[in-house]
Amino acid sequence: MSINQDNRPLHARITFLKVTVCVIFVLFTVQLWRLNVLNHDYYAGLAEKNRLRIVPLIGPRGVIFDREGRPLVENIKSIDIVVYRDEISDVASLARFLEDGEIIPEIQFTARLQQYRRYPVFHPVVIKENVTLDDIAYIQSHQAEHPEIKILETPKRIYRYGSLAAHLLGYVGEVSDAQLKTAEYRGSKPGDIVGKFGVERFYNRSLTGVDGQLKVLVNSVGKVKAELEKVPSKIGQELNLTIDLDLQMAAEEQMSDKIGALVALDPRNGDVLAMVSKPDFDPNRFAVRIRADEWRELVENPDNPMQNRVIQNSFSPGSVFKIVMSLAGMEKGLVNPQSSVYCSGGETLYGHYFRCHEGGHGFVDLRRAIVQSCNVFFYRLGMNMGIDTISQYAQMAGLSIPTGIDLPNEVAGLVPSAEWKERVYHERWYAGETISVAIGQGAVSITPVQMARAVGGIALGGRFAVPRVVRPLGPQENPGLKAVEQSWNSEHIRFLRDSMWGVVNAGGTGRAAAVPGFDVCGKTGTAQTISDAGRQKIVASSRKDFESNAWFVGFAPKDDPQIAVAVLVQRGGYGGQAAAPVAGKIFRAYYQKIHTPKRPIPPSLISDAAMQ
Amino acid sequence: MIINRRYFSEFDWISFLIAISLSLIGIAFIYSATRDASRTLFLWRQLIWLACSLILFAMVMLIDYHTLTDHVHFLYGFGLIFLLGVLVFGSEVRGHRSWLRIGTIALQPSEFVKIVTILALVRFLSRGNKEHLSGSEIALAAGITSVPMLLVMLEGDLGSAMTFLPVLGCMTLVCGLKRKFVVISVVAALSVAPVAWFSLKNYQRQRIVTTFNSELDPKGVGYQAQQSKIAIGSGGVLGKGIFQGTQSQLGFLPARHTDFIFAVLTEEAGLAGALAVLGLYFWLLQRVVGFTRAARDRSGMLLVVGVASLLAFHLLINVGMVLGLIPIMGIPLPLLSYGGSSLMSTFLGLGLILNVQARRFFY
Repeated sequence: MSINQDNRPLHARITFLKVTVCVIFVLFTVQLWRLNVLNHDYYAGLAEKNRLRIVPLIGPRGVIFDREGRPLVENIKSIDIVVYRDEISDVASLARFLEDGEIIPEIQFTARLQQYRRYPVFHPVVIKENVTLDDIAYIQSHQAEHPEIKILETPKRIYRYGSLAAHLLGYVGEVSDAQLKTAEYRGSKPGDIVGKFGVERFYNRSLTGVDGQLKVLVNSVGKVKAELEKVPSKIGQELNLTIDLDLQMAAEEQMSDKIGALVALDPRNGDVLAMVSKPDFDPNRFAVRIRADEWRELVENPDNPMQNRVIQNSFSPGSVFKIVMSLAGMEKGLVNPQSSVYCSGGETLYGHYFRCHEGGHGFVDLRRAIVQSCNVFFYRLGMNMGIDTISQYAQMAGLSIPTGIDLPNEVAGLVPSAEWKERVYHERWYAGETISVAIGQGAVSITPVQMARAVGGIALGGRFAVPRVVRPLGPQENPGLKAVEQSWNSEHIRFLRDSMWGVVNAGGTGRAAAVPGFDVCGKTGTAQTISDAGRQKIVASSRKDFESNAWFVGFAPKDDPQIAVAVLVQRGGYGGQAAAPVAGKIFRAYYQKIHTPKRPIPPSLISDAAMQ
Repeated sequence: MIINRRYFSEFDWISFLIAISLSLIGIAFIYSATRDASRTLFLWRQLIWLACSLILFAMVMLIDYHTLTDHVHFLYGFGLIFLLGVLVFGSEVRGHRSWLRIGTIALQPSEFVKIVTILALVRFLSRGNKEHLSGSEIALAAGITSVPMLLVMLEGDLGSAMTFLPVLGCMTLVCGLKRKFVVISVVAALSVAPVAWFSLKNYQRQRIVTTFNSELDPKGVGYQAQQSKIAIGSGGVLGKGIFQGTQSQLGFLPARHTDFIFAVLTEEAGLAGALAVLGLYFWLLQRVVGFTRAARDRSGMLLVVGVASLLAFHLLINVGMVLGLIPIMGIPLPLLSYGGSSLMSTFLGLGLILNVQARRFFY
């Protein structure tokens, strides 16, 4: 090692290296300034987004009770598996992971993502509902690799009695894109569960809860470290239905093997006590995302289980329409209790033979015409009355006008008039057509709820309360819908009540509806679903599809009507055989109920006032 | 071996204390970054590594560096055997077969081989006394460097292998390179670049691409770079406070106690803390490079240049990648990052430098 080496050029080169390092340090300072000062807000925002996650707390829908406070529809907690799309790093590997764990097949998962494409990216995609413990274990043990998968607790609708009153209660489901654009569902967000049918839909806004949210601090593998801020969810408003569970159960049982409709209501205030439409469906199947094949099965069923026949379908009333005819005839002075007609089993009018009961009724007055349901008497009456008077009185009884019941999709039905035919068919009304209308055939078409309301209102002397399925909280509810009042002669009303009492209790067509001790009044109907001429052609095949619709419409008790019932059994044959026994069971159930001292029905507001 | 009072009085306490301070700052933030998952495990481990480093440091201080350079062929041979051993018996951590596991302790021999290579270069480059190095000298220096470098490359640790180059570059540059050599090496580097690009592994290429646009793929390859920038930028001027950094505490920042400790520091101590630490490093480098003037001979001077350039390169690459200026390479921040091999080899290097400084009056 010599000490006389000349190291001066070396020092110059070292200085060069020092300067290079200095420059890089300056560069670092500039970059730190850029990150920490100039773009601090941007990065602070990203750091916040990293660590905060918003967990939606879904507000449960309001509980629905029957008129005695027994819960019919409640909520249960359901565990869902959801995916946060903004945290997915590799869709293909996520799909494989979910398929491997038997959570969801890859194809369905892709479809699900596709479905949510238009929704905001922070909106979690529900990929499986009502998961099993195995599912949860699988997800949790792989949480670190897939922090985008979360387990979420959400309230689910549960219909305690399955298909009981399914059409009335309705069902819920995820709001569709089309619905979001309508005023009815304003305020709903994509993915929200909304009422889609029945009370769930009509009272959707009241029933809907208020969603809350939970802000949580999460680490990089999605584990919640702390709750930062909680806005609790609120449950939706409770609803008290007018339905009586006991009566509804009796009605369901009676209708279980039939196709048709049943409605029982309190004519004094419009409270619907029972409402059945058959065939039906189980709304619980909609509370969880319904499978495509199950849905297809329901909507493609030729018997339309998704239709509420009580309000959504109208039918020929057949002979029950004679109640309206009798009232109109008396009010117009065309008939009186003493009027008499000879029935020989049919009559030729306007060159056409109209049938009545085989063998004929002989001489019939108005009372007998009602009790034994003589067509010839009403052919004559209809001929004298003319279509416009029929139409006028039918409308006064609320027929061909929606009742205004608090359920969606109610139809108006139809009672023809000359003006109607001119407007729709651009044709004159022929007098011969009136003959069919007089016995509730032809173009006449009425919903079961209209029928029950009409008979109840007539029994009360012309006061037609608006049917309702939800009990109002105060007297000021439903201010727009008032009972319709007609001033009809009370003698005529009394005569009609007596005649209808006779139908059930004095050798009439509706004796199967009788309840000892309870003065049931009513009228049967057997409505042909095909013309006589058509019947001739297929008589040989004798297929049940072409059998008549059986009706029974009635009220009880005779002098203080408290309950009105309309029963329709489609393809049931004769009203007296197929429909009257069903109505009888309902009257009996009601009678037993009001005579059981233990659980009296809470008196409604209107009947309270009436009693004073 | 001569030890007297003068030796101690010449000892540069300032650079020693700067190094100790940086290590302690490092330990504080290592604890902050790992206490959630591992409590005090890493805190204690790094304290033990620091103690080991100081023992090693003291031992190096006692040996005259000339003794080391005189016997460097043993050390060099020993180093190569170790590297080969790692290739055969080493354990793989994150794709690198560069670890030698003894019980629960894992060491990276490559870190120590870097120091040995410097010693070897010192020995062969300090013999001449000319203005420039001859071609054969350059070839020899390149040969000395490339053997361990290739072995480290074979381990898969490309980033670590790269650090041999600037050391070689700086040491030969200081010894004097003719203009034509500089031109040739620049041309060679440029022509090799495309070949190198295609010989890189896929993830390595993507790291380079995402450096310039880390938002490009924030969930994938760019994740680490992006999370590092978020940690740093969200720290602001004064930081979120120690133990308060959400990026580090909640684990959004990968490798936070090792390669990305500077991001943890900046998130929790802010721009102020980052500049303070950079200032300490600058002071240390400044001081150490100053020793070249005091060095008794060319070998001492070259030793200082070699170790200082190794230290500086580690520092610049690490901080550059953490700040998102260059692609991510697995290079720790000397003194601050968790890891025994890095800490011990750094103190080993510092020991050699301070050895040169303390022995400047011994002839």
